Amino acid sequence: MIVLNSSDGATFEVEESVAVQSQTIKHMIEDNCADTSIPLPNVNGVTLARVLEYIKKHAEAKDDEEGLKSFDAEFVKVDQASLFEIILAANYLDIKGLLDLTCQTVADQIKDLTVEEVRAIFNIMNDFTPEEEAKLRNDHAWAFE
Amino acid sequence: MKGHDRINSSLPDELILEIFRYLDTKPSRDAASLVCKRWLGLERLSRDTIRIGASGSPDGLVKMLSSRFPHVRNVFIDERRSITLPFQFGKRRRADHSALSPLKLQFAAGKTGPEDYETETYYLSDAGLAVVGDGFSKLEKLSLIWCSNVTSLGLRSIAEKCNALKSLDLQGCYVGDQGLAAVGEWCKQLEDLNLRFCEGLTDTGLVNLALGCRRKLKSLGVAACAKITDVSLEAVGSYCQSLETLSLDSEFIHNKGVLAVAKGCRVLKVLKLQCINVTDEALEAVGIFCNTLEFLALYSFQRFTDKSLCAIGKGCKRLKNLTLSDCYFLSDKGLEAVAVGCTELTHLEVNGCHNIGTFGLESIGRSCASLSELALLYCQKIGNFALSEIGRGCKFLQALHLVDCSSIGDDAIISIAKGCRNLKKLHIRRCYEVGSKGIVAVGENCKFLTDLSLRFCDKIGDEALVAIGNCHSLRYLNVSGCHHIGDAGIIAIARGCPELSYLDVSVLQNLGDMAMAEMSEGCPMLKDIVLSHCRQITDVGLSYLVSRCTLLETCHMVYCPGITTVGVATVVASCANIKKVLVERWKVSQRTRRRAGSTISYLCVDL
Repeated sequence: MIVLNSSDGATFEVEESVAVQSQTIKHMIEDNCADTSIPLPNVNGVTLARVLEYIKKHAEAKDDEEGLKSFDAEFVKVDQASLFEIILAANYLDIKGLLDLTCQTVADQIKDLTVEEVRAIFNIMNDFTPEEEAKLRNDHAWAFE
Repeated sequence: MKGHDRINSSLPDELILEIFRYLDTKPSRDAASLVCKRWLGLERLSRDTIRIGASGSPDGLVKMLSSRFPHVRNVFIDERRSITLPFQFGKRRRADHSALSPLKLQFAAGKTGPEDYETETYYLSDAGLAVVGDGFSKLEKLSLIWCSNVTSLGLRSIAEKCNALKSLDLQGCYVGDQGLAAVGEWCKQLEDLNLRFCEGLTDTGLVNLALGCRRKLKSLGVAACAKITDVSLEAVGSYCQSLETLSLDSEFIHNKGVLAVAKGCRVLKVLKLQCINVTDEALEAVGIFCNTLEFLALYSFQRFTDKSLCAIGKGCKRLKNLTLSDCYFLSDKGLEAVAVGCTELTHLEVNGCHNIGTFGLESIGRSCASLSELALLYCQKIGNFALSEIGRGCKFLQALHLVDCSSIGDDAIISIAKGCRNLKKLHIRRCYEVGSKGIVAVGENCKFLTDLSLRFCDKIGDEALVAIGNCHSLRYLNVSGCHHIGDAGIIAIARGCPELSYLDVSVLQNLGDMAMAEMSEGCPMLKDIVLSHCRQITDVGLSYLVSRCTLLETCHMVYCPGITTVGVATVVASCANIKKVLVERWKVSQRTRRRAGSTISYLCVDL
């Protein structure tokens, strides 16, 4: 068993075979930095719990493609803030499957939306002047799909 | 601003780029780049594909694009397609806007002389291609289609600068042998080469490329290149032994060439032949030497006989996909040999092979349990029994296409329906013996059906569609020309198939506004509708339809006397996503034209 410490002091126990889905943790174990516990100062407790939920499910149901697909679909149904926290954690912990899943989710939210709609759902401020924006839109006519 | 911009404050550049990797269409990338300045910069760094057509000044355009998108890996230039650029790159040519307006630049360029100097600048030149090489050093895929001004010099400059090139596609380009030889010399990562209408290339070029790329080459396509002969294929057989895919369309290739490839390229997986001078001898060699073959397609009036198919059946046990098109000399005997030998077959298409009949298909049904897709086109000799065996043996059949098979009737369809419960797609066209009984069986048994097309099967009536109302996953329905279908049938579909996205009811004289009203209630996901020649549908029905089917993207409604300018205006006003409307010109008011001009196509018939 491996012990993980989140940034806000929460402690989590997880099987080594499951934890090594995170390349970061895997390397720490290999480099013998994991005697007592592994500190993860970049991930808070709530997010770490979610990440562990993901890697536990993917370890135990490895061959159940359909089951994992529906688990993944439900897993990403969280609010924006949490989703970004998970992306950051997946990146820091180097868990490829989770990073791909969460980035794809955000991309799916962006696809097929107009520029204004994207700005609205992410609360992004438009820092182009109207002239700049008009010129850029014009420039996009150089090619077709 | 209402909330907090979390995405920009929490995610670093590398993660925004990671998200952009999943944006694979130009519109979504363009939109992302306009969101804010940070996204603009990042999107430009991460764009990896550009497609351009013939424009006013291609060399300048390429220069601009290469500075804006430095990490592009895939470049597609197709000069058959012209676009109007809203801005100019090169010298203004006598401020003549008509020169830049939708000029149809698809004409193949003639040889350029001094008097053609001005037209010359419209096409990408060698200098432009050199800019592509300079600007996109990470180039992996290059496709040049009808770039008639590009020569060996241009291709050589690309080859020298883009050593990571993996895929090269040349169509209608007058490049010469030195260009191709340069690719062989510099592009050692090349895996995929496609040559079509390259009249300047001879065996010398291709042989040099084969010598240069050797075992890296995995896929080769040669079509309509008159000076490429068996000599090139012999070189491929000698040097490119890892070749997996070969596609040939040429009357200048004979058995010798195909034999050489069969003997040399033992891991061949895909073979497509349209070579009138290749005969059984070549395919017999394929049967002996290419045991890894998975995909075989034989097209158009070639002289293969059953001997070929027997050899394939004997040697190519892994065959999964077989297409036989216009192969007059192939008969049931040959198909039986394939059936018995290639039991892993999943896709079979028989098109216009007039000597293949029931017996051949029966063998497929008896031996190929993994069959998933079957297409029979213009097979007058294939009768009901054939499909009974398919129904009995091919439990995993997902798609069935039948076109102009006049001997196939209800019994055949009933056998398929009862045996192939996993059927997802059924396309029947002009099989006049198929009636309601067969389709009722489909509705009762094939619950996973998503695509149904019954064009011009004029015995089919409303009862059939009532049964299809049980197929709740139906997305695509085409009943064009099935005169007996009326409101009752379409209403049943509206009530039973909520996921319907495409509906074609053209030429149905008995269909009226009631059906349109029910459609709007039952099928909110409708995206495409074809109502042409429906005499009884009026503006009223149309407005019912678009009141709830607001996702509508295309609408064809020509020859509908009941539809007027009002109806057309309603469609345009109610459907925010409308992309294409086909209607008579006089039915479009000025106001509608202003509102949605680019989406409306007019019926091009002057009455």
